[in-house]
Amino acid sequence: MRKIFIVAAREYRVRVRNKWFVVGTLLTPLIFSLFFVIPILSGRIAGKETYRVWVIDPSGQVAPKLQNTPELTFQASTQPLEALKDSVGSQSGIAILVLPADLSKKQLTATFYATKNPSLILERSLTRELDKILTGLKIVQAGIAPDAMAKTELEFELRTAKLSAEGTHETNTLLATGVGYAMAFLVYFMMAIYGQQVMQGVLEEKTNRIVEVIVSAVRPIQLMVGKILGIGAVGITQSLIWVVLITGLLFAFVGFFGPELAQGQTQQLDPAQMAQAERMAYQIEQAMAQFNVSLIFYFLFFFLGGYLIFGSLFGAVGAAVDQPQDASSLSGIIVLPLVLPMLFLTPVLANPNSGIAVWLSLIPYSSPTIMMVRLAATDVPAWQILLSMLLLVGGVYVNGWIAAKVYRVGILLYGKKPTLAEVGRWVVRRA
Amino acid sequence: MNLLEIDRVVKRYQTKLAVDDISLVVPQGVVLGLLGPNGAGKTTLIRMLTRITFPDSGHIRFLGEPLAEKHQAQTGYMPEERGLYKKMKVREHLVYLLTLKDFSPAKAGQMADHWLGRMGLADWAHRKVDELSKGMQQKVQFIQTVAHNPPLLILDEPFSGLDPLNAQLIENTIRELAAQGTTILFSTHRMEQVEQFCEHIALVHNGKLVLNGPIADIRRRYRKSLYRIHTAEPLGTLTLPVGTHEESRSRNEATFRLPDGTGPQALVEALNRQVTLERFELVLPSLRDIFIETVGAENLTAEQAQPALV
Repeated sequence: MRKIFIVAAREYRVRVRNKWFVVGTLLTPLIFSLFFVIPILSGRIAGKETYRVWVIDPSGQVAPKLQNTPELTFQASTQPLEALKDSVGSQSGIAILVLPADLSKKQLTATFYATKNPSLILERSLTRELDKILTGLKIVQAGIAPDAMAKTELEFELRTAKLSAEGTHETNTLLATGVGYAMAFLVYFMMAIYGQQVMQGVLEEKTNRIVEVIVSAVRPIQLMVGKILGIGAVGITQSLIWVVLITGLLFAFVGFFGPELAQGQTQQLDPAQMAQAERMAYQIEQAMAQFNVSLIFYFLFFFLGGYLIFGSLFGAVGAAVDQPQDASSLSGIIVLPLVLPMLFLTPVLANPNSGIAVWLSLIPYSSPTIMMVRLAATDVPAWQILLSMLLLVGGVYVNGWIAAKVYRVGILLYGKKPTLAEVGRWVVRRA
Repeated sequence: MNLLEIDRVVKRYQTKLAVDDISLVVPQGVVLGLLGPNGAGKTTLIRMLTRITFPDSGHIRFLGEPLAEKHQAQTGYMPEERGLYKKMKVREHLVYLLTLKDFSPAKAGQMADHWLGRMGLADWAHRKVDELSKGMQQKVQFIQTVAHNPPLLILDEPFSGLDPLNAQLIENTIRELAAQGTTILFSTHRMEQVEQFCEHIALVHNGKLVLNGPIADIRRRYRKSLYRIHTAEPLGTLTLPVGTHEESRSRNEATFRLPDGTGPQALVEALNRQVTLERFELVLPSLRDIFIETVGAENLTAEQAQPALV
């Protein structure tokens, strides 16, 4: 045990202080948060664009209702469009808005002329504003009192609830799907990335020719287990740092710009937006309820089990060959059971209790990803969870045993790439 | 006390018998040369002594006890194919391997510092291995083998690839360790190194131990009736006893082969009558001669033409 720990500690130390590890660990969350931050920031920058808008309103009913915003200042014009176009020329910051003439039509269009395209946010807010004004005019035209119309306004939403022994709790299908996908992909990427690191690590020791010195001090199985555990710990460290940094960066961003953003919007918050904010809060609350502690436990369990299976198999491949290109061709047989379950993600999510979903969530090679999807998406019967976990433990044991046999023989063998049949013989032969 | 007792050890691989019923005793403090052509079974035997592999049958005892995991810490093994972790620092590398041999990190650090100083690498302790020259890396590999002062050293071609300066330093260190009583198992196919270093040899061929014992005894056992003389005056025409054949001669020296079963007495008397003898000696065969006679000249040339792989 002590030697396994020493080996694992070395693997961990050497990898964690590698500059590419540091760069990758720090940059990834930064890039990830930029995905969130850039659209908001660019929206803010784009929001700074202001227009003085000449409004051509043939009906004369719409222009008086247009209200100036920080971005748009409206001014009615009686000049014809062509003359206005000429006077605007190539000046930026001046735009022309041509409103529909006949408001009784069902299909109404307006045109916004400017030297460059307005930002999406500006375009949307103008559309919303015009839609509101035109609808209001149509209501009056139809002879309905505006207050009566206001009374008919409502916000409707269908909420779903799951019946279970512990009582009723609400569910959100879309959210469950998202969580399921995210979990499955996280497990998959961790298994693939760190599994291959095990393979490269073993191969490095072999091509380095250090392995013979090491196995004269520790048993090969200790070296292999230590390596797998050390690299697994690197994986857990990296994901923890990612989670902390991403949340931290997002919070820092909200802290920096949040008050400013909120201030700019307080005056404009209308009841509809208030309702939307309320709904968001409700959804986040629901997400928290659904992403409960047991799911984190299952995530750790299935990630660890899957990583141990694929890590030891990748390690065996690294031991069986002594050329990186041979490793990549031989590792194909391991990549297959790793990738194949990912192709079933969508059908499993569509029907998480179908026969194929149940089977895939029990088989140790596919259960780490598929069971995570099912756990997030549906109520998996306890016996299935238990059986899947038992089979996974068994799978770790059997695959570890096979890998250890291959590893033992392989690490000290140099020369031509062994065939699969030869590797098979290593498994059955005595030490 | 015997450091190693190898008792009827057999190791079979898929297609061949790598070690075929070898029994060998290595007394404590002896420097043993393990000789043999490529694929003779030397590496397999060494890997069983280091518990990298295990015998199919037979027993190995270390200082009287059955060979066990704890003896790995009492062995220093330098394989022929050897390497280092390139991304580790020199001292860290040494400490890592010493802690794997059951030493505490503090003790391992002391050992590493002592040996880095002794081999002139103190300034490089905190540099990464891949920043070192090849010669310095070889010194690190050697330190790694001997730093824990093990009672048994197993050196497989320790001088291969060494530059002359490092070879000398390492040779001197090996001699010091031998003088301190370290038992050394020295595997090589360089006969002159064996003659320089070893008191005992063991010659392995086709998985079998074909020759084993102190070098002096073996050379006597393989002696031919060959005598060399050195004379005060230049040699002229000599009259020799019947059956004696002159093998070679120079100005003051000549070598004679006697018929089997005859002593040198008649030759000495005959020569004394003709020349002034300054030296008269029995010519012992070189290890190279013995090797050729035992395993065949084809094995010697084949092995010197290409370095061993496994």
